[in-house]
Amino acid sequence: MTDNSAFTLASPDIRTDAPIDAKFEFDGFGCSGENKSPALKWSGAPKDTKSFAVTVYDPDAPTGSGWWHWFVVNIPREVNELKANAGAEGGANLPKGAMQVRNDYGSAAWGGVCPPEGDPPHRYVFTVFALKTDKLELPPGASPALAGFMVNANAIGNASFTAKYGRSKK
Amino acid sequence: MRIRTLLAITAFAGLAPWAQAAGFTLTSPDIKPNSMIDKKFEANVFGCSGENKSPALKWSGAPKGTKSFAVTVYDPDAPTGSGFWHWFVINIPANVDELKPDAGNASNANLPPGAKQVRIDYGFAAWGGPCPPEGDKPHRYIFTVYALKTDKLDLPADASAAVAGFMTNANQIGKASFTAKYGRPKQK
Repeated sequence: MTDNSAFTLASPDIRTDAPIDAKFEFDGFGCSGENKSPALKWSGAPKDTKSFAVTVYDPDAPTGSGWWHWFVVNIPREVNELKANAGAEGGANLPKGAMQVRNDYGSAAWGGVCPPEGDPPHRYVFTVFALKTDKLELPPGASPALAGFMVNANAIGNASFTAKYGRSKK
Repeated sequence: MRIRTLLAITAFAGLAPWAQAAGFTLTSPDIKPNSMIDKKFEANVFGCSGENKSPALKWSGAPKGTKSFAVTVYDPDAPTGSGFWHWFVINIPANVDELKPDAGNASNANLPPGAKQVRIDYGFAAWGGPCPPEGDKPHRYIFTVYALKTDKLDLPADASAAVAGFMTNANQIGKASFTAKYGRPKQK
């Protein structure tokens, strides 16, 4: 059972009623942002939380399965934020113990927003999951779908917000 | 990198047409549409114990101008947040109209020459059979063949199925599919 009553997630860098800033855009696949992850903060997690996972997912990507932009697991229970650029490759800016799962770009890092030019703005769903386990044992190179399965199976609560991003046709 | 160019071109060109070819159909001699899939196709990992062999597939009526095919099997009901890719084959030559039983063998020996398997959500580049959680309502497995306007998708060696899906959608000129189901009862 999940208890989401008081659990909230917010970013000082992203407003839900305005487009995401271009600096969070990817720096490949024709995109040219800074590819740095925004800061995130959460509060009100369920009492029995043993660890957190954070995901960013675009359900509007024309792939057949959306697009995983970021997937962090094993965030210790006493942590309640991810600092700006926590998603740098290599994990140096992550809370101790936390780990990045490979995203759909193929890197274990923040992979910024990069919708096709001219698409209606895509939705980016930022979610923090409270887990009943202190560690998810994932095989090296695990897909984000597999990580998503494990996260859902261990979640006792979650909080999320959605923001949008689009690129106009050149 | 070739994919970057292709993606940039695709982005520039905007959304690909989502063509649904009139006479294009996909069938399997092993699986009837909307039926329950046989256990032998079940995965042999993650607590599942099937033979993990891919079913035979046949298609006909592809659009004129088809330069290659891609075949996918996807479970939209997997509780992952993004469904689950069970199979993804690309670069199937235009003169091929079937995949034989066990074409999804990890050895690649049973694939048509030139075809290539993309890494799926289990983490390997092969058929990864159905393996829904025990007690879940039977999941849907969507089998799709895409007719592409390019003879080859140049994907990085370790490309995700999502990247392959993006490239497939961007290059498709038609598709055909059927859906079948699979469930596993709760063990006592």
